Amino acid sequence: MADRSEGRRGKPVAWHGGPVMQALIWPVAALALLVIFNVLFTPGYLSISVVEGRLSGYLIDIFRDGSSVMLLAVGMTLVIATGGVDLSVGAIMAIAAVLSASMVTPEWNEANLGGWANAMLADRTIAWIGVVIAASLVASVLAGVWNGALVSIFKIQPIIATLVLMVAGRGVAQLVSNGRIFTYDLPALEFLGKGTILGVPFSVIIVALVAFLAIGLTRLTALGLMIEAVGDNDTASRSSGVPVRAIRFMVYMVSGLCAGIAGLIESSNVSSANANQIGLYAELDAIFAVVVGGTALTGGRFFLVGSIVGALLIQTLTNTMYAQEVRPEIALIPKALVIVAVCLLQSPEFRRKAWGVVRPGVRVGGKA
Amino acid sequence: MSGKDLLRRVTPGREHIPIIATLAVLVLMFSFGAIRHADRNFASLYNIISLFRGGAVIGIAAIGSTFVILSKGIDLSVGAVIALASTMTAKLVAEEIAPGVAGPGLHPALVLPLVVFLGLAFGAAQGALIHWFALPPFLVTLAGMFLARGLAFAVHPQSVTADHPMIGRLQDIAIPLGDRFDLPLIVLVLLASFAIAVLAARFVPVCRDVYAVGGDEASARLMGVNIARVKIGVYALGGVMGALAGVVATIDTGAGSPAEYVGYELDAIAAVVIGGTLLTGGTGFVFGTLLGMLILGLIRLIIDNEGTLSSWWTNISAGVLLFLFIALQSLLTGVAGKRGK
Repeated sequence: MADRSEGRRGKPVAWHGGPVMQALIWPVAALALLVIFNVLFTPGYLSISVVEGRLSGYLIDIFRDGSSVMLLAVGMTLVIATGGVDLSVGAIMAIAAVLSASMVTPEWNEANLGGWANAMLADRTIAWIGVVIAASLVASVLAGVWNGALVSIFKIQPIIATLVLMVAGRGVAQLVSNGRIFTYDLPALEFLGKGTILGVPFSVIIVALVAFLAIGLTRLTALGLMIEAVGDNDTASRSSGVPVRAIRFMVYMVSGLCAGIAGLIESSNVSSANANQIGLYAELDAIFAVVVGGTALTGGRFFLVGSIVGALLIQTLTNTMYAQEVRPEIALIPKALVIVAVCLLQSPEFRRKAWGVVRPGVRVGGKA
Repeated sequence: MSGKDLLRRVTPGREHIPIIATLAVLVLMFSFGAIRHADRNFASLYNIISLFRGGAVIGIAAIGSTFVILSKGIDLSVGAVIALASTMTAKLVAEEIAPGVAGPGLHPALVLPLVVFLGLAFGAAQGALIHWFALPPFLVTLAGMFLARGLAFAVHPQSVTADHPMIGRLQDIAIPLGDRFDLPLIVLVLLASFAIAVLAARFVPVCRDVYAVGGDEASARLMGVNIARVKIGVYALGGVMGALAGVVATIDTGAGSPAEYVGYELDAIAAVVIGGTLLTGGTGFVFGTLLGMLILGLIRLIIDNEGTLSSWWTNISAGVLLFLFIALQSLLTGVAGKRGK
């Protein structure tokens, strides 16, 4: 990490620019390469048209399909910045999705909440959907509280602490729906995933709001600095008065909340909730997006914009496979290769070795 | 060996506490099942053999995960490697892939070592990326999981029958237990693998180095331990055991499938952790992993026997057990850490 710290001290290595630029250069380059590839091989890739009052086109699809990865990436960035990781986001998505789909199913309400819920569902649908969304998000935040408690109070390593919910979470989701897959037909709830405002997909608007809120709160207040301090040095932060425990709690709650929103969007996209399918492997995509975006897994610094770019990169890759009619299972191979390639390019160790071999004497990042 | 020495060797130390807890849980759960379902003959030899048989694929793979976790790493590619190995084995030995479509029909004696060797190469490549380029293990093995799963589907898009006379003959290998039951090949491989691994962890120097590296890598390096050999070695072993698990699964079921064995990496990790190996590396026993595997199987068996409980309780109880063991570990390491200071 020698190159980064030098950049911070105001002695940037010649062509690197600031740490933010440095973090963004590889994912942006990879994204540009992918887009160029698509422009060459997919007819009409860049064109955006308006179909039935909504924007449509390959580029729009990337943003729309990628909204849940982007949301997860925002929460995951903050968790990873504190030196943690949240493996349970996929399971939390499933819990939120299944709870929302259950609460708009009359027979589930009858059995679990009583007749008043169905009366409200029938008479004041919009208000009830507000309650449903709120309940799902509260459940997601509670899942985050559980993770936060394990990490900050029980001092369990984050990978392991969140592994517990990753294993048990889908079981909890199935417990809620009694193992059933509910489908619904409620335009108001489906609006989350399928709706548009002025042609822009509503899910993209949600992502933009969450991302701006997160960037604003962390960069315009001391919150971001505190998060980085916790990730950098736990003991030193505590000694200098940073509420370490509260910060840890908060990032897992935010991650849970983001996962909950993502789960609601995913399930409203398909108007149903399958506890075994919603958010499967989502944690992997999210972690990849964050790491590609320049946030180190060791914690101590974070780049929310980088994570968003990383999420777009992975979604572009996925959609490119679809456009090329690669079978989704086979599409895993290039995905894996890109993950390894980008991680290698970002590894100071690799850059030192590769550049050191190719051009002896010119060492990226000076002493290592 | 003097008497005092012997006594010290058989007296449990604090590093044994998690494994003793595991053993206690196993005995308690089994007794619970045996008493509660006495009418259904819970404690039968049949159930015990099926515990081993049902857990064998996870158990064999979990041996690799144990060493990886002992070295302070993690291997998420296990499930996909099992799927890749099983699909490759089945496809390469098949004399007929689909009705009327001839397959390679290679002899299993050639295919089995080849697949295990590919597993070794796959694991070693992951280890090399992790060690030489200082990439985080869970990210590399995550990519490995995608890659192996994708390759499995590239080898063959659906389940393929291992249609070769030799596979049938391998399936017939079994050691009879009494006149009604026998131990099938998959259980024999499981037990043999564990026997070798337990002995190796204790007596082979490289395996003991794994503990040193997992405990404190910097100190291990200063002690002259060859870090590269250990770190690349554990992931290579992870690949070998994953491939072996895939091979025996193919023999046992007579088919290989690229879509199967999803989430087996988590079951393997759960078996390791429930077996008392610390996820912080450096402490644990291979034998504990066998106990962990049996406990996971027992959860399933008890829930099946309850009848009224739905299968998703399996996930929840596995999660709860995982939490309890992790809490116990963090308690123990916390106390140990304070003592150290």
